[in-house]
Amino acid sequence: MRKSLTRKIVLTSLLSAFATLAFMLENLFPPLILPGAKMGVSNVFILLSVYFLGGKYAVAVLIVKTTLGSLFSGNLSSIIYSLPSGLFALSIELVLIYIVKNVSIVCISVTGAILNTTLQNATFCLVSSTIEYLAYLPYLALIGVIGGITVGLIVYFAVNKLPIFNEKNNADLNP
Amino acid sequence: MKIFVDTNLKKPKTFLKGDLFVYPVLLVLVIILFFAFAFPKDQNSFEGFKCEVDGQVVFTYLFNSNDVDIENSKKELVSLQKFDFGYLITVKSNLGEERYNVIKIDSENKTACVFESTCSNSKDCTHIPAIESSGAVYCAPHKLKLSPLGNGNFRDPITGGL
Repeated sequence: MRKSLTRKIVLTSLLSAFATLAFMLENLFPPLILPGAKMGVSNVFILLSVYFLGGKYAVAVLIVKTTLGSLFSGNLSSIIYSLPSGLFALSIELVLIYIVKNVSIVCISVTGAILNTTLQNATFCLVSSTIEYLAYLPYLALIGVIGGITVGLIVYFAVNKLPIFNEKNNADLNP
Repeated sequence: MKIFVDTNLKKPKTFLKGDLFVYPVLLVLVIILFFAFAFPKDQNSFEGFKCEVDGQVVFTYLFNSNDVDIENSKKELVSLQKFDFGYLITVKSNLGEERYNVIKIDSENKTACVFESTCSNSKDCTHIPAIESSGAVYCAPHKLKLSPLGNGNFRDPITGGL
């Protein structure tokens, strides 16, 4: 039991660190077409934590990623619009995974990406009172679809194909 | 012995039957977004551009007169350069020295964008495509907003005032 808990904590912090790193690296690149539009590579690690640890841990990874990510990128105020939309998108993803079931990872990821970008943009419009910015919302949703498919495929290959997650290899690692 | 996986979830797949119900919902959502927010361009009431900082108008530009009208109280903050294509307008931020946005107005193509900015490392506002009769550029750190200027009530997507 104790061993299992330690392992979970270590894995959660590792995934949080990777997610934060991916988030910050991605911020270094200029946005795709529109600001706020990006692939969302850090979401790979959040979905991985759902598969390896469970929903609760994924929420923790998301909160750590968003908080540290916006802190390090020097734009702490972006938490106001990125955290709520991220939490909402993740909760819908968890509903699809645990309650609806029978939904593929690509579909889950696309749903999350669309919800995340649109909500984030809508919150941004409300906070900054820039209603005109809503005009970009449908295009952000479309870019979200592309990002969602990419993230979904990465998660699929990571869980299914990487040797480190293969049970045969794991048996050797476990003394 | 499982070493990494602590959940009873099945391994993810790229396609499952449930997708057939989720994708249509998403498609409808995106179509609704397009109908609600991607406004058709209304050229009739499109007269120029307006620039605000922190909710207060700094300057307006009208196509008819091809002239930039700077608010009297903001004259110190704004400097103008006229070119063949239109104007480059530097708006200093009151957040500190060396903080400014350069706005480019293209009078031939009737577009405007933030050309240069010192707002943050990522300079999001400079990456927003040039606006025409819809859309807006908002620079969050400097609270600067560049938007089209219309006749009376410009399209308000929230109330749907067309």
